[in-house]
Amino acid sequence: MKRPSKAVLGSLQLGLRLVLGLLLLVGGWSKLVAFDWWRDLVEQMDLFNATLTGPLAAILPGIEMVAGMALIAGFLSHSAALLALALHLLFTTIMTILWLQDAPQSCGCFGPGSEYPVDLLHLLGNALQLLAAFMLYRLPLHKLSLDRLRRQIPN
Amino acid sequence: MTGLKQDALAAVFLALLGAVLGLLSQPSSLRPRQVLVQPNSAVTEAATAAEWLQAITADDVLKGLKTGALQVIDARPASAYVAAHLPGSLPLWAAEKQLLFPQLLTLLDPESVVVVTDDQGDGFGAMRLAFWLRQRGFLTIKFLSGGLKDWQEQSLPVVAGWDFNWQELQERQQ
Repeated sequence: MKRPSKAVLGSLQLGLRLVLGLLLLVGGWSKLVAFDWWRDLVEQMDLFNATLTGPLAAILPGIEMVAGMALIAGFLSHSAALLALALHLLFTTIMTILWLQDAPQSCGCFGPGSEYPVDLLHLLGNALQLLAAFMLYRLPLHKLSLDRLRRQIPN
Repeated sequence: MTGLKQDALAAVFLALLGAVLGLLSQPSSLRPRQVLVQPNSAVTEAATAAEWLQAITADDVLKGLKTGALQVIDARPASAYVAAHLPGSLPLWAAEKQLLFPQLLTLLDPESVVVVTDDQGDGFGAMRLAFWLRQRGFLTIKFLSGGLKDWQEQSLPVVAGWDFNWQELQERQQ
């Protein structure tokens, strides 16, 4: 079977980068602007120590936003993909636990408007994003990225 | 392997940057939450002493549910509601977490009897809800005597699972 050309793989990388980056950016932003709601939700999940829920509720969306911005800009793309992979591994674990608990607990992925109980469809969506993050790490860089620009600038 | 190591190090740097940004944007996250009212204290006492709030027995609630003369709102957490709730009762938690209080109100008839309940019946959750409904003009509010605990001990009918219509509330929101 013929291997896809570098240009095709680069375009795929750009598409995945933008989609995943935007999802992470919007997800992080929507949690931080409705922080009290999001903190309540993390507490309601009852998965973390009570003293940790506050800082954790602030840290996670911050990391999501930075990873999202880095992916969109193509800055440290492979590292941002690794970070997105780690984030989605964590999210998938949390969502699986919530799903197994069979409680109508939302993941709160995209802020107050996205409050539906975690179901199989949620898990599948998250698994797809996990796969996308993994692919992003393996794919070559597209020319529309700060990483490529950086390489072109002579020292 | 060196490439992976470098990428991982840069990923840690990005994560630290995100963590700092998150904490800087929400400095209150580092402080423990203030509990303004302790459960089962002044709120419960004030509410149960109020003339407008009367107890209703499980038998009367059962009759009312059969005739449709009253509506029940369950003030317990989601997991308790899923485990067992009164048939046809509305989960306060769903409305609260989805910021759908106005939509919850539209499901209630201000002229009808609204019964609030939690595990004890006159616990903090039910009393808080009763005050809230009173402020919004509901005149006949009652609390279920003995709450869900007594209801279940009397082997009265309960429903398990999540039979609440999320979509209906969402549509009302739009």
